[in-house]
Amino acid sequence: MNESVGVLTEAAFYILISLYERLHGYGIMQNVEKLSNGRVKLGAGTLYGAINTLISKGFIEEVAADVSSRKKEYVITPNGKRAVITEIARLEELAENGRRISEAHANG
Amino acid sequence: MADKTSFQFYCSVEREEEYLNKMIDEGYVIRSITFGFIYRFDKCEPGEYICRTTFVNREDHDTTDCDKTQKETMLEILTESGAEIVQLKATTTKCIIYAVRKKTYGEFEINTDITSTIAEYKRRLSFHLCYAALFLALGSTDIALTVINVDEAPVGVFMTIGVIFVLCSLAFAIPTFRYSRIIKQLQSNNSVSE
Repeated sequence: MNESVGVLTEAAFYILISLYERLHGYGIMQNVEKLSNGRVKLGAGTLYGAINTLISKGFIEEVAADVSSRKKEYVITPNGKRAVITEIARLEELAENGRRISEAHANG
Repeated sequence: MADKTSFQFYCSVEREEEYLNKMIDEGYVIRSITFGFIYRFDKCEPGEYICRTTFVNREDHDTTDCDKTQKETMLEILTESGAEIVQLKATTTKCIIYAVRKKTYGEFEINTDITSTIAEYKRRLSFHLCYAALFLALGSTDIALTVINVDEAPVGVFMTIGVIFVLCSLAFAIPTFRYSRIIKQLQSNNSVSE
C-alpha cells in the first residue's frame, strides 16, 4: 500500500479518471456511468462526499467555470494523476496475482 | 393552494421519508413542510416520484464558508440529475434536504457507496443525539424546578412540560440505537468489500 496516497475507492478512481477533462458535478455522474457501462451509478451524496475528500487530498481542484455558467467545475491535479498511476499498478498486481493463483488451482 | 394538508410530527427523518413516499404511492407529492409538522401536498400520479432526504452538516468541512458552498454543490448535483428540492430544513449545525425525483429517471439513491452511507448515518446520529440531549436538559430543568419549587413555580405546569420534554428526548434518542448498529455493520462490511 502506498502510504501517501492510500487505496482509492471505486467511486474515487472513476471520478479521478473522469476529471482528465474538466467537468461539473452531474457531468462526472454521467461520465462514470458511461465508463462503467452503467454498472457504477454515483448518487449525489456519494459524489459530494468524494469531491470533498479528493479536494482535501489535493487530487482534484475547482476551476473557474464559464462566465455564462454558474456550475462549479473540477479537474484532476498532478497529485491526482500520480494517485491514478499508483492505483493502476496496485490493481494490475491484484489482477495478476489473482489470475495466476486461481488458474494454478483451476483443476484442483 | 395545496391539494392536501396533513399534520404530522416526526422525530425520525427516516420515518418521515417513509411517510412521504407512502403519500406518493397514494398520489400526493410533498410540496412544503412548515414548522416541521404542517405537510402540504400536490396531486400526482400514484408512485410518480421518489422522495429522498439527506443531511449536510459542517462536520464534513473545514470552514463555515466552505459548508455553504458545498451545500450549494449538493443542491446543484441533485437538481442537475433531475431532482426537485422540495424543502431545506436548517437546524443549528445541519441542513436537511428533501428532494423528489420522477421515477422515469430511474432509481433515486443519494448515497450509493458504503463510505457516503456511513457518513450520512453519522450525520443523522449526531443530529438525534444533539436534540435528545437538548430536550433532556430542558426536561430535567423543568422537573428539577418542581422538586425544589423555586419561587413557588406552578408545579403542575412545570412537571407536565418537563415530562413532555423528557418524552421528546426519548423519541429523539430511540433511532440512535438503530443508527449506531447500522454504522457498526457498514464499517464491518467496509473492511472486506466496498
